[in-house]
Amino acid sequence: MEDLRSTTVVDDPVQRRDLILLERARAGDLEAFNDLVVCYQDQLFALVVRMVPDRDQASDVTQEAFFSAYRNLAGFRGGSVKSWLNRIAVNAAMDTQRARKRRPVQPYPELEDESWQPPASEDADPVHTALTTERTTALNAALASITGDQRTAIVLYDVEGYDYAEIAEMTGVSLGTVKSRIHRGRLALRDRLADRMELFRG
Amino acid sequence: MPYGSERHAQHDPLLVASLAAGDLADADRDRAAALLGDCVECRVLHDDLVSISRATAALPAAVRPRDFRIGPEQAARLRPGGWRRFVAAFGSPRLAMTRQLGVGLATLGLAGLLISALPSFPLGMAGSAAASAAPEQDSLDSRDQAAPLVAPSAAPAADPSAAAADASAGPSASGTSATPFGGEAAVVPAASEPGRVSASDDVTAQNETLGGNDGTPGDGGGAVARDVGSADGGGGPLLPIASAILLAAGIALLVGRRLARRITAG
Repeated sequence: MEDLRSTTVVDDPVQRRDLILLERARAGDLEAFNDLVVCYQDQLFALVVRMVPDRDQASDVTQEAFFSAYRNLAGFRGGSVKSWLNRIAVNAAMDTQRARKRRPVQPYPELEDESWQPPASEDADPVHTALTTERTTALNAALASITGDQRTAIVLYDVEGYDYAEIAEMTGVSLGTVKSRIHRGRLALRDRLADRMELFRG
Repeated sequence: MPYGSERHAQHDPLLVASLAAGDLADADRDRAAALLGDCVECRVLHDDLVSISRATAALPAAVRPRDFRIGPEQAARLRPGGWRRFVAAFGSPRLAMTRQLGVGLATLGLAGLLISALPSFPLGMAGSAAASAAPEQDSLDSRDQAAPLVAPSAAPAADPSAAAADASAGPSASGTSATPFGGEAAVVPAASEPGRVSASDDVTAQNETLGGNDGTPGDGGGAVARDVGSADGGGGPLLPIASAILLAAGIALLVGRRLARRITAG
């Protein structure tokens, strides 16, 4: 089996840990793979639920992404394990978006309950907390209402911090298309938030 | 000159969005900056887009509803060993075309078998079967019914071109009887029964005159039918055999893929 550490210069201790776990998982160590799951499940679910704003569906997509990663451990070709997992999750989420587009059902449910977001700390200002909650709810609702392509591009760029080229590679479109989706997506968000923009200003 | 919103409506919001994202360079950036300096609404739009971008980046991460760790049974299903691994690879999305291939092969095989089963098809099994069964039945039919009834009209019905072709086929062509569909030719023992001699002889005589066309209704091309029939002699069973192989291969692909998907689905 190919030694991933020998082919990749890894200074980052997190990446080195990931590669060691991945190698052990490839050798058949399920516990090593589950250690990777524990490291990334929060982040992966947070990414997926923004692309597929239905918690149940997002949960299934995240699980399927980990299944797919485990099934295709041999397909890892070095680099960042986190990026590899993100790519698998993005593909799984995009597949779900496409399936949803083919047979449109109901719009994504309103995320009105607060179970999806972390509880506020005890010393937080209640007014600030309420404002943040309201802003988050409004923005999540607006994100859920724009097209899947625009949402994916905005989430990957603004939330996950990928650059245009990485998003283009992940989503299989050109750099110009990625830029256009982000710009148009933000304009669409602004349209939907037009009467609530005071939450975001200042 | 337009004022306020009317003027703003003529401005390019994508240019403002590009500026807010920091994607413009040189001339475009200067143009967008000039637009923002000139149009208040464009400036508000720009600031709103920047705010939305910041708010999106600061969105709190959703709390995951469950644990996504994989259990031993799921792991065994996802990465099967031994023969299951081979079969499971068959059901992977990368080999999704096996389904279409299986359906295609099975359809071709089925179509081939159906075509070869048609009695009119010269290469078919039924045609071959008809060939073996035809001598007794056809001879009886032609002697008992067809000859007395059809003999008078046999000459006019005969196709001159077929007759010409038949003439070149020589004496062996005489006394043959094609199936009503022009399929396998069957040898009819001419004038084998004493009681029927006159009618059969008439037909035989006419056949010999016209080159052996037996004058069965609808059979204007006995020679052609015989030619095909003789060509069939060597390659008859090929189509059914090939079709059966295709059908078996298609079904095997479909069953294999179904089995593979069952294994991977647990």
